[in-house]
Amino acid sequence: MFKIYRVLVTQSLAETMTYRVTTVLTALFGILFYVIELITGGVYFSFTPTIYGWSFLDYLNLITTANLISYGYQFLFVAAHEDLTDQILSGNLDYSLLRPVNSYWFHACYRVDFPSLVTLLLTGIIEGVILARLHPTPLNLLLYLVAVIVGIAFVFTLNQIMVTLAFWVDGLTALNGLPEDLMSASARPAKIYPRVIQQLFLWVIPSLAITNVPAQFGHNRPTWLLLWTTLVTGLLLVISYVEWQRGLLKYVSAN
Amino acid sequence: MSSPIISIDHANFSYVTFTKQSGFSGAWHDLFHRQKSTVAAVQDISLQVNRGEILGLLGANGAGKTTLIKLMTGILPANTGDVRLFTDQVPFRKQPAFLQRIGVMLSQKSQLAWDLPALDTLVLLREIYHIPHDQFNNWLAFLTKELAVTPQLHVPVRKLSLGQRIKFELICALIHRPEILFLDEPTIGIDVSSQANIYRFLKQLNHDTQMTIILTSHNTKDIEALAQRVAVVNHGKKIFEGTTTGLISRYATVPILEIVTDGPLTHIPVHVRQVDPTHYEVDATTLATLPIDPRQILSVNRRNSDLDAILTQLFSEEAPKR
Amino acid sequence: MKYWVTCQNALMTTLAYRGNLFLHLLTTAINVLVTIFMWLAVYNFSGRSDIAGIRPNQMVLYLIVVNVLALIFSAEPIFKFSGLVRSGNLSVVLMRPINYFIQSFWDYLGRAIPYLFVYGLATAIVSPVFHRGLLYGLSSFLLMVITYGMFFLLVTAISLCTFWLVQVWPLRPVLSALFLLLGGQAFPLQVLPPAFSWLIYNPFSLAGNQLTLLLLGKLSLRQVATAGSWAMLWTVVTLALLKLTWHRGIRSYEGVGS
Repeated sequence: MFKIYRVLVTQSLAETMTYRVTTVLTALFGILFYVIELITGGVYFSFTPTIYGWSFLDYLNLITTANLISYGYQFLFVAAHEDLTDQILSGNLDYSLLRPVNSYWFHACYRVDFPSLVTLLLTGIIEGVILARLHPTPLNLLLYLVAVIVGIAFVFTLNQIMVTLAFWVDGLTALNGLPEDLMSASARPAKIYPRVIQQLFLWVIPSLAITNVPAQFGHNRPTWLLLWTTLVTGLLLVISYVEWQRGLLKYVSAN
Repeated sequence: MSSPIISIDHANFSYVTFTKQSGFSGAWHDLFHRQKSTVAAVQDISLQVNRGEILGLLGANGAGKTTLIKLMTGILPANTGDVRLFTDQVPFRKQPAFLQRIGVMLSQKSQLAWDLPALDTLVLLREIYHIPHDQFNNWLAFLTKELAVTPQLHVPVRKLSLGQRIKFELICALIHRPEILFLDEPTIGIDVSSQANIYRFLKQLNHDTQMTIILTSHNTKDIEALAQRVAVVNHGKKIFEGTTTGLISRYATVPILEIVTDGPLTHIPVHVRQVDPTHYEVDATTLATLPIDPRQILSVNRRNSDLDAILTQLFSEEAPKR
Repeated sequence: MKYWVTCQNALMTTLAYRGNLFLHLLTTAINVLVTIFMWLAVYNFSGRSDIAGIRPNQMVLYLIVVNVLALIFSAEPIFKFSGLVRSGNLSVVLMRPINYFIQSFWDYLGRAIPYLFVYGLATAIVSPVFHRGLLYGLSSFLLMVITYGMFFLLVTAISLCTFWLVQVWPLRPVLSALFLLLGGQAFPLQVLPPAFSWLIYNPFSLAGNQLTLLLLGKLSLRQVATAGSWAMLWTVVTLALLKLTWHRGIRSYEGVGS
């Protein structure tokens, strides 16, 4: 499996190299997006020094972490998900059924998106600077990293679940944008939301927890919520796997 | 006598389709009531293939050929009946060891990465099928040489001609040296010389390696060039199984000969009817020899002896019973 | 009326994919809520009752209107065009005896009809725009039309990027981010320091911020005229850009799949 992944990564790189302009532009767009977030945050905090106890630096930490998770997902999985959507809609999965590899992981890891690596690294550096000023303890720093990885896995499963829905519903392309919307809506301090919304997105679909938990570890406010997000992510992973198996059966019978 | 490599026993497969209505009111209607209908794609088909055989599956569009291929390769499960390959493998279980032993090429579908050279896809397949490097290199060199696409190995797929692309699809299906090769419409849309190249190569491959080849086509040339045995499928049912000549002799029963001459005949014998100055029809039912001077004949054809004509007739005769 | 058919088909598509329509509205609702909650928190913690002359309830109203308005300005032509270039079908389209851009405009219009309908109703019934005399009503209407055309041309000009760009998906978040920031979806551009006041005449702001203010009855006749002039200027600029890039683009277009 590792060897296959290495080939896939090499191929992604080759494709990236074929389209250098795209790579540069994609990276630029990624940075632009982040800058816009920064400016918006700057506008908010130009009227007040803190919001629910979050200073501008804490807020920066939050949105940078949210971006880190989002770019991490983009680098590792977004190109594969784009491709998978196409493959499902155009009914081109037959060969996947005929190869002696696990089709779920094969398609999930089919491509990595190198342009996003540039933005991922840049965001990583910025977050490094922010963390250096927030001084998390070594343990909190470690848990911060764990929380970010759980976050990437969470975004992956949400998208995987949405993409696989294409087996049943065609033409619902807007569905694929939903996880992204959810995650960008979650890149805010949980407390700005009314209690009901907070509870819903901290506990049921813990997207708010996914962004807020690592940020809290970053500024030394550890939380047990991390355990919960890990558990939910694991569960979603299982669900997406079962959904994939069901989807293949559906694909086959509607062939 | 060894047991057959493929054995299909009373297999059935049907699927459900939704009919879409056109227009605005149709779309509105579909929103609430979608009309379902069940289509029996394969009905009670039994078929056996021996190791080293080349079997052609003939049928019109939608006759069930591709479905049959999908049953044999395990893309689809049979609803009822039994499909077994290598005596004990049920294709739909997709055991890795089983998948390792079959090669499939589906027309209309591609496994080549569009923006990369075909070599990259092949390297990926090398890892997927765990092919040792030197074995891979030698075999690939052989395949590309035989199919005359060695120079194109490093060209991005999107820049290849259709014929070259099809050849690489074929190489993808063959790269792990399968024991059974399934080809679904292998020569659709490609030029005659590429077709001839592919036929010659497949024949040689079959001869040299005893590779079993199953191919479907509605192009009778494919079948005549390659298949030692054919099965004709129509509306999901097998209506004939045997050799191509057997098929012809069974259905080309009308003994009327069509003769083309180099010029008009001065005298028209009995049993001969003139169609135009150089075309004649001879009713050979009661004749032992041709009543026309051989020196004047350009060509003789038995009407209805052409595979295409027979199939056209067959497919139109066997109307489905529902 | 071959273009009218395109428009009808586009409307049908929007309605047929009503799931997408619904999800689009849901997305918008989410974005509006996020922004509203964030602003309410800012009002709450700053201890102010107005920011740049805008009170919290006015802010909420502004944010709702500007986000709903954004729905009629879709970036879909970019992705449609990219699909044509990627698949090589552009060659086929170019051989048809129609102007691709005009057809694309009718398609764009057709897709937005449900939103335009709601927008039109809101403008006619709720907003004070058409209760301020003929001249004001007429110039307002003209501003809306020019801005709508201008935005289509802008999106089309951006779509020509696809000649050089293989994947255009990163454009989607960037465009929405631009609309968010420059269009005044995240906050009315008026809250920015005076040094940035020129920003309100960028094309995104004309479509988002200015039309929203118009709808809320906050623009004087003079401001309507200024916005209209800027919209026209941008129209000319994007047209020039289109002409320039189109020819270069066609030359670099590989005719994939031919």
